[in-house]
Amino acid sequence: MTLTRDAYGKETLPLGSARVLHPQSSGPDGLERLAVAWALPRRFAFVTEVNNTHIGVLYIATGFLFFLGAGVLALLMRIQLAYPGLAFLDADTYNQFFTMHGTVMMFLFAVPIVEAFAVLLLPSLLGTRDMPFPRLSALGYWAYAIGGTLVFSSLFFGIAPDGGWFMYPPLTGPKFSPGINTDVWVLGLGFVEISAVAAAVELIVGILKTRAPGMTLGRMPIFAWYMLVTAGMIMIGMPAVIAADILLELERAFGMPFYDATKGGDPLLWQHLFWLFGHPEVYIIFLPAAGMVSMMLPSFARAKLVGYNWLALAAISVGFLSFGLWVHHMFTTGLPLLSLAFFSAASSAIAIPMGIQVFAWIATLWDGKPVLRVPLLFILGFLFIFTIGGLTGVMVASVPYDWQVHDTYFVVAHFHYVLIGGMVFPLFAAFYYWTPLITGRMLSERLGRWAFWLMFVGFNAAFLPMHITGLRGMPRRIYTYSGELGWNWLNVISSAFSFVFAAGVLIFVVDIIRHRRVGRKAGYNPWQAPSLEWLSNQVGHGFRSIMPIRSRYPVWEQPGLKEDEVAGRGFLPDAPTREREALVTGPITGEPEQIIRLPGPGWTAFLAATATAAGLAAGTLGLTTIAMIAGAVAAVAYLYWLWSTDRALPRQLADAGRGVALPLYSNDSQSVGWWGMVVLLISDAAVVASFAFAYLFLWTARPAIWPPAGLQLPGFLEPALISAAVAVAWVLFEVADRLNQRDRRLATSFCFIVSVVLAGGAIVIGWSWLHGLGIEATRHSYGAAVWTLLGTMALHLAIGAGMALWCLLRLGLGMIDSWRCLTLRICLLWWRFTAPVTALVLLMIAGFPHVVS
Amino acid sequence: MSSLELDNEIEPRSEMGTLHRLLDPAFGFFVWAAHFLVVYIMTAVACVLGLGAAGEGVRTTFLTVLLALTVAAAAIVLLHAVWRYRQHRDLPEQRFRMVVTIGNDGIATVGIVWQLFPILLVPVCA
Repeated sequence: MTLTRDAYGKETLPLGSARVLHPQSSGPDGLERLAVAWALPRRFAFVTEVNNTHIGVLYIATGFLFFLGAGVLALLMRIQLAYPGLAFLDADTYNQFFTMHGTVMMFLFAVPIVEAFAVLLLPSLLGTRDMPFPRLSALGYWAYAIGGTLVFSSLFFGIAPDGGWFMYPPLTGPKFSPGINTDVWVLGLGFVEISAVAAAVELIVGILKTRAPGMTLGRMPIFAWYMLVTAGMIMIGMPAVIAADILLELERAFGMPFYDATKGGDPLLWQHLFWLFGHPEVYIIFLPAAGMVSMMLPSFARAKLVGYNWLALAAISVGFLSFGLWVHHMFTTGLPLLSLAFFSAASSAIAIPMGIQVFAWIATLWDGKPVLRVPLLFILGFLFIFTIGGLTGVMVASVPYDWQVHDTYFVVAHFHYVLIGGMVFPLFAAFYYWTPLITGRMLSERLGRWAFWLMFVGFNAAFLPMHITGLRGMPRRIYTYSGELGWNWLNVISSAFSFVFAAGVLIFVVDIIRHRRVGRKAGYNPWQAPSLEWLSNQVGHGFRSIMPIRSRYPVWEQPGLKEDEVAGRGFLPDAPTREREALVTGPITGEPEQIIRLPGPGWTAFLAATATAAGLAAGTLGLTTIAMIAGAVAAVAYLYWLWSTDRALPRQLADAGRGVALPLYSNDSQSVGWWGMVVLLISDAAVVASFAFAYLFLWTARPAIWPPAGLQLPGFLEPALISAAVAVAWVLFEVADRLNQRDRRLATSFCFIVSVVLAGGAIVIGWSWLHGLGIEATRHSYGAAVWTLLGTMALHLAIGAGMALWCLLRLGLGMIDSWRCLTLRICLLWWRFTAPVTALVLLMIAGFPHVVS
Repeated sequence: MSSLELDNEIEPRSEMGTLHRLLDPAFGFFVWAAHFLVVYIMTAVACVLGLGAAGEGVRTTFLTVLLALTVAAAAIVLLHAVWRYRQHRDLPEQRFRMVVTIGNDGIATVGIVWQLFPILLVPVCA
């Protein structure tokens, strides 16, 4: 069957007399061109590769190394806690170890490795060759790998963070943590968090825009649903902690008192922002693992998922509800009881979608004829352990119970049951399941069973007693304890069995190393799985051709799929433009829209990440010159990267195979660049909203002095002037787009220039307004909050002005015209966000003090 | 138990904007989020402004407002679910969208109604 757009109920493409470029070949010449376009660079140039299969494997390997490193820290802590009064670790080292254990496990292992699985697997599962922004994936990976290594290596120099993984001020403020330990955490992890947002942009746009033709939202592999929700949560949640980091560093470096109670600040602001991210973080880790479980189960149950629709809606529900739980980490902070109860109720509500998932998995096993292989063992272990963690979660969701066990080992036991059960066990199932896809060889069934049972028994025997240790009153984060408190034997058991758990992990490591030589050849689809990834080959381009999809379980339900794919009877059986390509499809219906050319190997992403990391590290260590040089190199790399986007492409349609012709370029909302910018702006909006929250929250902490004594109330004249200037600048950008459509280059250039002048003028007026009001950033939290909010908007205006200059330059060089205008329209999106938000922020800064005074 | 008929679904094109169509199944949760933020922020601000020291009548009025908001939010979500059901019930190709929309609306309604427990049982600003 030839798939044309008619199959989707649409009008046919206006092929008519249009010349179709780049005819495709399904023969060996087409395959040869594909192989050349997707070839890996050799030797040290491997760092320039951006293909998802390459980056994904590096990403997973790096995440696993961090898991081992943080695991060793845990074992060392368990030795210290095995007996009362041991002096194996001193208090300072212990502080650094538990901080780094939590930090590394959460930020450098759990989140990155689930993103890594998505980067590696999603293109294959979605039936495409790669995600739309491979260089962004590469940047995210290298930023994470280098930034993470710098943070981890701080342990060896005694400058590791030591304030606990959630780094509460005032302990981490400049007064009580004057060293650079906290700066290492804030700057290093800020960098890693930004890389997580980069991955989220890639995943959201990839899932929505680069699926196989015919793969509607309702036919996506369930893992894609889970990752879509997860990436959305990262997009909203990570900015909150990035904002908290920025505020903490502003306080530490410049004395802006956000968390300093003596100057109107409030340490609880950190807790709100941190947990606004920190609680969704748990689900950011859990949901991808649940998605992987949902992908693996049908293979072992030999039956389709029971309740695919319900799993998809449960994932969406968890994604939303998880943002209404953050205060349940703050039940002991003295918030009003009614507020606590709202969060307690929401914490209980999330049990509904979680329950739906667990029952769907059990029903799938019930529905089929399960085959008990190692991945299924780990999945069963996950169900057992995670359910216990969920039940203790319901217990601590109850405010009075939480008051009793807060900051005790009961909570330590609870979240290890949730995280190790909910994420590590599924992850090991995924290792056993998908390793044959990557290496072509099976891991050992015998060693796998040993690994599972050691991990399962070791985990439960180590962590189950901790519930009792906690109920007996042992607090978290103490490096030793008295022998008369009744905790001794419980701690001995926990310490001993933590090594049993580690032995299981070690066996897995041995298995991974030996299987490359002695592992059984996997062959095609060793688990008889229903999903597309097993069709892809162990080569850069993945699929020989992109097959149209008509089922949720294509390998089971589309006869001849493999044969057609290998024979090149799908889309893009060739590399018609001689470069890497992918199909862009509609976000809802999966109809083919466009062929995009993807970037191949290049130094840009690696260089940008390395230089940024070097700059941040040098800045943290006070090496200003090196920091500036590295920053300049990074800036050049980013600018070169931007310059290389929006390339000139022919306007004609190109042959996409199967009788369909598609454009090579899109300059509107069909393009992946447009979608990438939308996702980025939502993240950006979350940062601005976090700063606005900080302003309002600090008022609730000191309502009687807003603004503080001695400061006059802000007027409305300057905000009105600034808003007017910004609005005109935005309108001029809109006009520039329309003028450009009519090829009126001079008038378009004029609009850009006036936009720049107006944006600059708005910044200058804002600056003089704040100075005139006498608002200082360091005297009181009010001034700090005002300067931060307005500074953020000034930065937005400066970037908007930079975009206008960028467009002006490209227009002058003929790189923008009425057809090639995606750059202009993406910059226009920035202005559509910046202008109204600037006006709203000004209204709040000027109006709110009048309301509350 | 797995349903085969759902596997033949293709969503027809629609005049609704793509972003709107993508987000519509989660409508209930946008209402849930708005309601959650409103009742939480109203409580926090009211306590800062001294509701705890106000008379019994003022506090009862405040809780009544919260109650009304909760009932209104739940009603909006349920109406959305009913509306979508009436739109999609005869369209097999929209089955996935309908189930996800109604399911999300249902869970969101429970999440909203659940907030009645604190509103009705817990003293304000205590």
